[in-house]
Amino acid sequence: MASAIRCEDLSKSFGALRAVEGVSFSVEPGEIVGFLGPNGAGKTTTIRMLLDLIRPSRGSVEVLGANPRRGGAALRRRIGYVPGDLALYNRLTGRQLLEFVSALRGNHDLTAAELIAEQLGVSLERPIGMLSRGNRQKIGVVQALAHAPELLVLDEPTSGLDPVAQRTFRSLVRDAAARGTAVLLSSHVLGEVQRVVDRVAILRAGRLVTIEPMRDLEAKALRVVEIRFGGPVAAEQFAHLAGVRSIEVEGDLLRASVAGSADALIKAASRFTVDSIAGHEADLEDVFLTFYGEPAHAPA
Amino acid sequence: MLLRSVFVKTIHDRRHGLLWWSVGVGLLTIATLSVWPSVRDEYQKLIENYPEALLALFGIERGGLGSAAGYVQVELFSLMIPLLLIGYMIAAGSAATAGEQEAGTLEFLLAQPVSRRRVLLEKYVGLCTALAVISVAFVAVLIISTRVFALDIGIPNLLAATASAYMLGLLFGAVTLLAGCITGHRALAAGIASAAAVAGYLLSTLATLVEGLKRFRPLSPFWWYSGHDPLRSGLEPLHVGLLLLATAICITAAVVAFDRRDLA
Repeated sequence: MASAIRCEDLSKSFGALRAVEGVSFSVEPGEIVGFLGPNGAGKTTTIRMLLDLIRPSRGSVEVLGANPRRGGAALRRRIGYVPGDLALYNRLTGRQLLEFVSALRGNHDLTAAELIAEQLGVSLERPIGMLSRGNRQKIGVVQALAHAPELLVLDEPTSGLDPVAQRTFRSLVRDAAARGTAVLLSSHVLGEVQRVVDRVAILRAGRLVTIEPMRDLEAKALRVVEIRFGGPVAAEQFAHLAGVRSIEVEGDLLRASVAGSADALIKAASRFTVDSIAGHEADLEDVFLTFYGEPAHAPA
Repeated sequence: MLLRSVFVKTIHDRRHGLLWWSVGVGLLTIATLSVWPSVRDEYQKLIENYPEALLALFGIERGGLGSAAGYVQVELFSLMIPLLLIGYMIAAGSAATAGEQEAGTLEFLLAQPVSRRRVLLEKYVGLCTALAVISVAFVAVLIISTRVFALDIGIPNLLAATASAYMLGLLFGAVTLLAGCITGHRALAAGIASAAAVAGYLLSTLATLVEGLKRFRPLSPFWWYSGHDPLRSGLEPLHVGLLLLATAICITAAVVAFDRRDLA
């Protein structure tokens, strides 16, 4: 089966500004790829080339086996898209907007759209301009998902969504991927996408820094492990353990930062009486920031 | 209204404005014609005392101006009606693509499964339909008013002059779309189209005054619009053809420009 997205040496310049430079990656059917980078890294520029809103300066891009420009309207019928700077027709109600885009797709059945809107908890009866930013964003998500596209391109789709809606959104995206939809999900915050993506592509200053499985990225992440012992312990007793980056001890409580496997730490701890162990979710922001580099590199 | 296409949505977006433009143009027409019974005798003398330059500015020539047709030509068709119809098309045309681009909604629209060419053409046909509504409202009020206020002008002549003004509006709508598709800026598109309209108007008028300019008069859309005097002589194929041809060229160029350009 052909890749849902395949970019080779994709580049885009605006005058002297090289917005995207030599980006190559692919997204397979059924796969969810996180597209990460700080604001201005070139995520939106890359995405807009997938939708034929702008044309590459160099390199090639294939979406569902077709060139976006030649594929035209027929190709876009198979894509669901939430733009980064989502602007909808504010004077229409959500229902009117969905009727409009369904008609452009040659489909007048709003059942699927209504169901998704209900799951996300957004009214379709009010003018879009009167909705909160989060609710407008939900309308954007509904119109992208409603026609069960083969490819979902979501540019910062969760910005402005409350945590409950974010969770619903993640499960909708997971369901779509389970049905074979390829998903490209951009964000500038890893935490927003880490629980749903299979692979992560990281962009910085227009270049692809890395694309790797989420699992590999997590293995590099620091994890905080807290162990409460039956009595006081000393930090020296846990020094120089494999994978342990730092140790803090307060009486009977030990707090360790661990990268990758926690095996050495647990084996060392087993020499003492352990009352409880608490492991915190991997903090990927540190890993992420090493890819981003110094803040001075961040383009305006 | 079920928004089943870009065309329907274009009409839907303009529905309130359409009503007010039609009412406004209608009231202006009634107000203009209602004074005819009281000024018909004075009017001839007034016009004869106008300086040549002023008459030219209003696109009229001496002789027969005291007639009802002369009055309607001067008061409505020489400037006011083409100005209003062109103004409507410039306002609506600059909103159509450039305005949507500035608002950010064009990105959303063009990501849908509809080609850019289709978006542009449906929007243009929508604007042409809207202008037709205003023009029909105008000519209906005009016909009734000429009967009520006893202006002796044949209905075919009123229809011909209105049709000519309508086609002039279509042309400047196409010019505005072209400017909007090239620049992507609403105010700039409106400015370029307005400048083109003023230039065309001045060329057409000054050419009647300045002998050296006379041979350039056929270049002005206003000459195509009124040079054959449709209110008195009806439509003439050459002038109609020039208006429609120029419109077709502008729309084709707009489609090409819109299709090629980055939506940035």
